[in-house]
Amino acid sequence: MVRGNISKYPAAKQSLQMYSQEQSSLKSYSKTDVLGKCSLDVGISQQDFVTKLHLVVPCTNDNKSEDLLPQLSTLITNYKSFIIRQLHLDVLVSYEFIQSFIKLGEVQCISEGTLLGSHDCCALYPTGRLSLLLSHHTYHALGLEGSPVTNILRKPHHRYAVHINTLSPGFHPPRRGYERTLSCLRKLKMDFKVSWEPNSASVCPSSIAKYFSDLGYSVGPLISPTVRHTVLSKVPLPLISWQGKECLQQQLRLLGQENVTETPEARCDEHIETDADVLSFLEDVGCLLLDIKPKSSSGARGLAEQVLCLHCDGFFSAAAVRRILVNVRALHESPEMRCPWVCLSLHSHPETPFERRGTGKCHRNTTNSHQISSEKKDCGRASSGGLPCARASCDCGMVECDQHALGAGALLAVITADQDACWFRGGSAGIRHRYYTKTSNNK
Amino acid sequence: MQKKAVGYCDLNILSDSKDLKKTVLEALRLGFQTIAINTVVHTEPSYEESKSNKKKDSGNKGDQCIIPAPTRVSLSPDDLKQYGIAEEPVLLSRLTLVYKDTTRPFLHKAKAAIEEYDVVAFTPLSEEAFKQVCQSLMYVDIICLDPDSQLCSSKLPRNLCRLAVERDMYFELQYGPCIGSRNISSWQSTIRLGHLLSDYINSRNVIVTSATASPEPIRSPADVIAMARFFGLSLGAAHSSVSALCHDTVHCALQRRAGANKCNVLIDFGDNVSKDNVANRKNAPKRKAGEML
Repeated sequence: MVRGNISKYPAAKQSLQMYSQEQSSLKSYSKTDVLGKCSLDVGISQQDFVTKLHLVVPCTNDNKSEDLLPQLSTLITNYKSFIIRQLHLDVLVSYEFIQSFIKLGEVQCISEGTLLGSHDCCALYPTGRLSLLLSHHTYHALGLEGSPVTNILRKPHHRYAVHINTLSPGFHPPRRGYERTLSCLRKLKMDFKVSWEPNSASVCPSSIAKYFSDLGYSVGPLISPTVRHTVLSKVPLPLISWQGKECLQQQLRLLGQENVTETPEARCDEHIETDADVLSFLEDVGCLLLDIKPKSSSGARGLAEQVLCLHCDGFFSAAAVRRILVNVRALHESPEMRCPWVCLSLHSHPETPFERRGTGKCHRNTTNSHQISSEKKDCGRASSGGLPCARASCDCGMVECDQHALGAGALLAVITADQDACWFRGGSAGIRHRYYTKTSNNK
Repeated sequence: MQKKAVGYCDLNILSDSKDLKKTVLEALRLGFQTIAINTVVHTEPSYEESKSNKKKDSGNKGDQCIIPAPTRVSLSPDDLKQYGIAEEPVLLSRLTLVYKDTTRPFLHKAKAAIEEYDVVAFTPLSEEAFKQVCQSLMYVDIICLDPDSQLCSSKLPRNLCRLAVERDMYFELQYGPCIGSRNISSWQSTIRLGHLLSDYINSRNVIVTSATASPEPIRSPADVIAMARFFGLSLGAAHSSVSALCHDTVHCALQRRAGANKCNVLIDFGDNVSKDNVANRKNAPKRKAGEML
């Protein structure tokens, strides 16, 4: 059944029930397990078009929420975006734009006011790839090469995908491919939400708005992220209990409590996490993200005087999220800040047509180097060992988001003193039989 | 100007509504972006009297069938803002001709009036009329079958349904008369028709519309997709019935209006065109429409 009210679908709720669907992928990791060499930064950089960002910061008597709030708000409200009306798509792949903005920073553009299942959608990723999800009328009139996308109906093909790599070596004038692409894309125009993070700190991010304005397009005003905060008091704070008694003691000391609050469910002596511990922790963190006090019935807990929850709506690029993460980590590691962990949660735009990785799996790092483990190209495997996916390998590395069961890609990172844990979930809900053929634009 | 269908579509909102503007705005508020305002013309006086006591605007006088001008609704930006509608709506006009007798030549006399509408639908009430619609008529976009009619209660010719699909015609299922109706047979007959079409043509060219004159029975696209599952449509077909197939319907209607023999092909050879080539193209013998090389 399709979810109700598709036309005004709100962003995915900040709850962790969605992670409980991935129970089968939560495995027991020991400290020696390292399943890959990706870093947390890489995981965050794959989260494109972040529209919602949440911070959960437990506070103690030493660092109260009133002191932290201005610092954290300032971190976030600096990253602005704007909307351009009726922008021709050839401007986004023009040589001047590529040289001035795509190569000198991180540009991200997504079509505004379009629904995945019924409209023509377009997205420009920070990697320089322009992806179009088109109806078959638009596709056949466009003239560029693409491929039919997966859909519940195998035939007739209603939706087509076109991928253009603007940073490929042969994509520049006076090449015929470049000229043809520009002439074809000139036929399409859409409203876009745009943000740009320049590599150089001396360049103002609003230069891109001026560029479009000089070309004659209607550019909306700069939109700052909106920040809403909630302060919960006397919160039974969930603690990371699967790293041993010493780790638990340290967390309680940071909270100003000396006695270990040990419950029968907390396995403090073992160094192997179990699904129940992780899920319990995630569920409690999820409650905090929803401004709900978790119950003190199960799991290891301390008592936090205050918990500050920041909820931000905006349009954040991966570079912006990385900077926010660096600042939050620095804040967490400062001696004044005495909290056992800080949680950062990201949600992508729900109408993202493509995303850069497969369906979500739970991963956790066990080393000190802020690494997370992730599986590459995991989209071909069903977690329950059910239907195999007939997937042809496509070098573009893009995975189509489910157009019917909308679910924004999400990432949850928990930062502690000596390690980070990260869980992410892709934008497609459920496992579907997927297929697509290789496109020739991906070179 | 040619109008293309965009977003979710409801291709049947009846024009004989007490407050047509409010009905259209309600449909737009619920998430539809393309609306077709339907003018129903009955060419059979006996059908009209048996269906309802209210005089319909058929204008049937003798052999002439007077087709009224399309009903237009103008929506101001304030109206859209009041209902919270952000997307620009696409409003089309649709004509539904209900007929049974194939011997009456009303179609030839009303051709000019029919061409003013964006989408043309036919409701055949007899097997001969259904055969004519599927096989002969040139400007049929939608075949709107009445689930309660004798045609649907008897066995529909399967080959004619498939022929209609091959000719890019679309079958319509209406959920509006079922909602709020105390007569359960309307639900049953619509579901029966939906399953029949699923059996015959695999629900390939089936669209779902509201066919209502008031805003109350109109449902959001997600609810219509869920209802379409009851009509025997698969999940993908249900979703396409309010989006992609409606776009196809409007696209085919536009192409039909352009005419089968009119095709403009512009080949741009760039600047490297020699004068000899241009002269040869000008002196080339002109071909008649439809003539093969």
